[in-house]
Amino acid sequence: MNRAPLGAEAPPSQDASGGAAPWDTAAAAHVFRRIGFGANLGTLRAAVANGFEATVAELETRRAHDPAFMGGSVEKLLSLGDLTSLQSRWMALILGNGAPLLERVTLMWHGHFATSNSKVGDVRLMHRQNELFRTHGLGDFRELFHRAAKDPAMLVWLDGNQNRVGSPNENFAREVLELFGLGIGGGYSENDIKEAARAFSGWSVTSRKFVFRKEHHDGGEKTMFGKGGVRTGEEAIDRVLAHPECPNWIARRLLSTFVSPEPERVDIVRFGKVLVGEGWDIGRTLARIFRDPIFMAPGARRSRIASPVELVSLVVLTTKSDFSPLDAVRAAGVMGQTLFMPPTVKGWDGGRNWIDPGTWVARHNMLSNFALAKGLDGKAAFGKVKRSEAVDAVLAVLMPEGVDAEMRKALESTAASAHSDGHAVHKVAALVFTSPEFHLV
Amino acid sequence: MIVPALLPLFLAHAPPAIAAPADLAVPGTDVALHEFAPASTFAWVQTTAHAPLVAQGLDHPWVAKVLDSPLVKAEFSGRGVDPLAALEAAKAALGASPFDILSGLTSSGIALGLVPGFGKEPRPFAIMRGSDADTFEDALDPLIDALSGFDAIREIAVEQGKALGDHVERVWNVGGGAAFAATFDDQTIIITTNLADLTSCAKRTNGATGLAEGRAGFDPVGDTFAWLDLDAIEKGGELGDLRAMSTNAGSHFVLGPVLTHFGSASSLGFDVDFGGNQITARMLAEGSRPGKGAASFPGENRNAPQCPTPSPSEVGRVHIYRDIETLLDLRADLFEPQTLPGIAEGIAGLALVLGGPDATEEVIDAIDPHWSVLFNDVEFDEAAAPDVPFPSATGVFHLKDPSLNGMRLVQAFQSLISLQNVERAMQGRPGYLLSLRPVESHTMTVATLPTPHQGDGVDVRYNLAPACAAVDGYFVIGTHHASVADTVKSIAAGRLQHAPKRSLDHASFSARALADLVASNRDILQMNAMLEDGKAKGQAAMEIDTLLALLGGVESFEFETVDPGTLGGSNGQGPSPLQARVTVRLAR
Repeated sequence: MNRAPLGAEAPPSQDASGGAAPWDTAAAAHVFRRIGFGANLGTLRAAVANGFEATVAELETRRAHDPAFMGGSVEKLLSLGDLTSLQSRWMALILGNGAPLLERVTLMWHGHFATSNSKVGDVRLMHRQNELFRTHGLGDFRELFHRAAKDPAMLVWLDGNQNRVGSPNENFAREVLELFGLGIGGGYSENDIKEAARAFSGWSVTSRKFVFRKEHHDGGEKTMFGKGGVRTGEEAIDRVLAHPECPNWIARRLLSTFVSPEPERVDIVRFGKVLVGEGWDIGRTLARIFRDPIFMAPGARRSRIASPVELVSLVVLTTKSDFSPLDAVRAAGVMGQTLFMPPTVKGWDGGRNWIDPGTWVARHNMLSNFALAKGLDGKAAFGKVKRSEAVDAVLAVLMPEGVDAEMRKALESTAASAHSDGHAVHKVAALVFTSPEFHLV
Repeated sequence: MIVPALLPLFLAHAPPAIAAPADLAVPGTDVALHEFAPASTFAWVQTTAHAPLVAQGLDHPWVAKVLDSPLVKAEFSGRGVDPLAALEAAKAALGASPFDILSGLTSSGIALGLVPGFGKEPRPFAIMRGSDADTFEDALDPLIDALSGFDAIREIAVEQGKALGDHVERVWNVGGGAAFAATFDDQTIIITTNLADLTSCAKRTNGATGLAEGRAGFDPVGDTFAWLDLDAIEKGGELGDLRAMSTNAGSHFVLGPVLTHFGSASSLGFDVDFGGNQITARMLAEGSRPGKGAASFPGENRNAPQCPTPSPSEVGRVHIYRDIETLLDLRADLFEPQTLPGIAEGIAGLALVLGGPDATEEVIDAIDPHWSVLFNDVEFDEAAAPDVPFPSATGVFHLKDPSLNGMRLVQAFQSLISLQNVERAMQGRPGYLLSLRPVESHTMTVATLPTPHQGDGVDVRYNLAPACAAVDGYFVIGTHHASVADTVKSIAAGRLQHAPKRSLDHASFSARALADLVASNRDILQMNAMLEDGKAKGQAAMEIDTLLALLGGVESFEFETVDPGTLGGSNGQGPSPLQARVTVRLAR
C-alpha cells in the first residue's frame, strides 16, 4: 500500500488540542481497538516498545490470513449452501487477526453497501461480495463503488435486476444516492433518483453474473443534479462521485468508523478533501486519519459503542481465549449483529441502537457466562496472580486506561469476596466485562 | 478430552492380545462377581476385557500405540502432563508398577453397580477380583501401605470386620468414612460408600440371594456386560423419553418396530465380545410390552422379497421392515394424539401427488413392508459433479399388482417434482427438468437440475438428480439417476439375492468406502472442525487422521435387529428378548 508522507501531520502523540498524550498501553489499546479488533497485554507492551508509527504501519500492512480459510477449500465449503459456514469463515478471519485493518474495512463496507442473504439466498453471491470488499476495500473508492453497484448480490437485494425501460424500479437508484454516494439529504432530489433509475435500467443478473440487457435499457439522456449528459448506469455513478457531497459522505463513514461516532463537520470536509487528494484511495486516506491528532485525541477514545462483532472479537483477542468462530457468530447474532444479515438496506444503525434492554441482557449474559462459567482462561489472559493483584491484572488487559475510584472499590470488594485467587480473577473480569465502560471502544 | 481421543485408537488397531471371554467366577469358588451385588441393584457393568491390557502395561501394543499417537501426545502436552513420568512417579509412590497393582487386583474381573440411594442419588459400589492369592497379596500390600502413608485408609479391627461374615479377611475405612472396602478369601475386593452396603454385598458369601437370581434379562456373557433395570429406574421418573418412543410415530418409522419397543422393556442388557477378527456389541430388551404395536412386527410374514445383488460401486445397504399400513390403521391406538394431525396431513399430501387412488388402502397397502435401500458411489456427469459428492441412496420396493401400482408411483414422482418446480419458480430458482430415459427395456423418469455454468462451482444440491422406474414387480426410486439405472439393470437381468433372514432390520457398510468419503472431503471436515469447534488446524488434522486410521483398521460395519418371532402373535406380549447387534469386522 502506498502511503502519503506523514510529515505534514501533527505528531501522533499529541491530542487534537495540542496537549501531549503518552504512548502507553492505554494508547496502544486504542490503536488496536480501532485499526484492528483488539490485542492482548503482551502485544500492547510490544507495541509500546515499538512506537506508534511502527505499530500502526504493521496493522495497516499485515496480510497473514490462515491459508486454511482461503482458496479452493472455501469454494468447496460454500457449495454446501450453508450461511453459517460463510459467517464462521469470516469470523475466523477476524479472530485469526491475520489482516486486522483489512477485516475492519471489510466489515465497514458490509455495513455501507449492506446486503442481506435473507433476500439474496445464495451464499456464493454473498461470499463474492465479501471478497470484493476484501480485495478493493482499501483501494480506489470509485472502483469499489462501480463494482459494488454491479455486484450480483447487491442487484438481487435491491431489485436492480427488475429495473426496465418503461417499468422503472427505483430501489437500487435510491440507495446508490441515499446510502452509497451522498447520504440522506446529501443534495439530490426525487427527480435525480428517477433519472438515475432510468440510467440503471437493463442492469441484471444471470447465472450469478452481472449482465447488461440492452433491450431493457432506457437509452435516452438523463439529467442528474441539474446537468444532462448521463446515459448509462456507469455514467450515473460517475455523476454521483463528482457531486461535492460524495467525498464528504465517504469521509464521514471513515471518521465515524475509525475516530468517533459523530465527527465534526470541519473534519468531515477536511478528510473529504484528503480522500480526493489521495485519488480516492481508502488505504491512503485512512493512513492520514490514523496519523492525525484527532485519531488519538482523548475524546476519540472509548467514544464508540462496540458493535456485537467488535465486542466478541475484542473479548477473544484481548484474553487469548479459545472461542470457536461459530460460537462467536452466534454470540454476535444474539446481541443484534448477524453477519451477512443486516436488518435493512441501511445496514445496522449502530451507535446507541446497539443497546436496548434485550441486547444489553444478551451482552451481559454472554460475557458473564464467558467469564464465570466457560471460555475464559484466567491464567492465559491475565497471568497467574494472587487475589490482591487481581484487579490490577484484569484492568491492565481489559481497561488499561484505568477506572474511576468507585469502580475500583467495587472490583476490589469483588476480588475480596472470591474463594480463591483464580476465582478472584474471573469475578473481577466478569464485573469489568459487564461494566458499560467496557462496551465503549 | 482424553477418553474420546483414546477410543478410536483402541478400535483402530486389531486386538493382538484380547483374551477369550473370561469366566468371572474364580476357579475353586462358585461365586461370580455379580452374585455379590445386592438384590436391589438396578445398574451393573462388568468386564474382563481390560485384563490383557493391564497385565502387559506399557508392553501391550495398544497401550504403546495410544501413547505414541500424535493426538494423545498433543492432549497430554496441552495439559502439561508426561504420562511416562507420571507412571514413574506413581510407581515410586506405590512401590510397585500401577499396572501390576491393577492387574493383581482385577485380572479376574472388575464390576460397578448402583443401588437406590436413601434420597434421590443412587449409591455406587465396586467389586473386583484378582487371579490367585499370591499375586493378589503382592498387589494389595503396596497399595494399602501407600494409602496408609497418605492417611487415606484405616484398617478396621478384625472383630468388627467379622460381622461381615466368615469369608471376610480385612476391612478398611477409606477417605475418612467416604467409602469402605473389604477383601474376601477368594481374592475379591468390595468397595461401597457405606457399611450397610458392604454388609449387603458380603451377605452373598454367606448364602444370601444376590443379583442374578430372579432378575429379568440378567445374563452376563461376553467380555464386557452391562445391565439396566428400566422398571426400577422408571420409579425414579427418569425414563420419559425412552418410554415415549413406543407411542411416537416418528420413532416407529425411523427406528422400526424392534428399537422402538426397546423403550417399553423392563430391562436392557448389553454385552461386547472381542472374538476372532471382529467386535460384536449386543443389546437385549427383556419384557417388552408392545401391546397393539405388536401388529407392526412381521408375524408370519417373514419372507422378504429378493433384492439386487451388490454392484462394484456399492458402499452399503440397508434392509428394513416398516409396516406402514398397519401403523396407519392403528394410529389412533398407537400414537400420541398430538401426532395424529401431522399424519393426516402427510396422507393428504400423498393423496395430492397420487391424484386419484386412496393413498392408504390402495397404494401403501401395495408396497411390501420389506424395503431395501442401496448406497452407491455415483459416476457424476463431468459438468455436474458436485464439489462435495455424496453416495446415492436407492430404494427398492416390491409391489402388489405392479403394473397398476408401479404406474401410480411413477406418476406420483412426476407430480411431486412438478410441485417442487412450482415452489422453486416462486422463489425465482431454476426447476428440475423432467425426462424419460430408456434403461434396457424399461423406462426411467429422471429429474435433473440445469447444468451449472462453467466456473460457477457445483453446489451440493447437484447430488440430487432423482429418478424412478417400475420394473418386474419392483418400484425403484433413488437420489441419483445413474444408480437407479444400475439397479433397474440388475433387476431386469435377474441379479437378485435374499436379504439376511434372521434380521428384521439389517444394515451393512464398507469401512473403505466411508474412509474414501472422509479422505475426499478432508479439507471440508478440517475447516468445519476449526470453524465450528474452534479447533487448531493441527488438532483438526490429527482427528481426521485418527478417524481414517480407525476406518483403515475396519473392513465393515454391520447392524441388525432381531425379534423373537413371537411378538406378532395375538396376545401382544413378548416373552423373548428383542435384540440389536452391531458387528465391526476388523481388517485382516
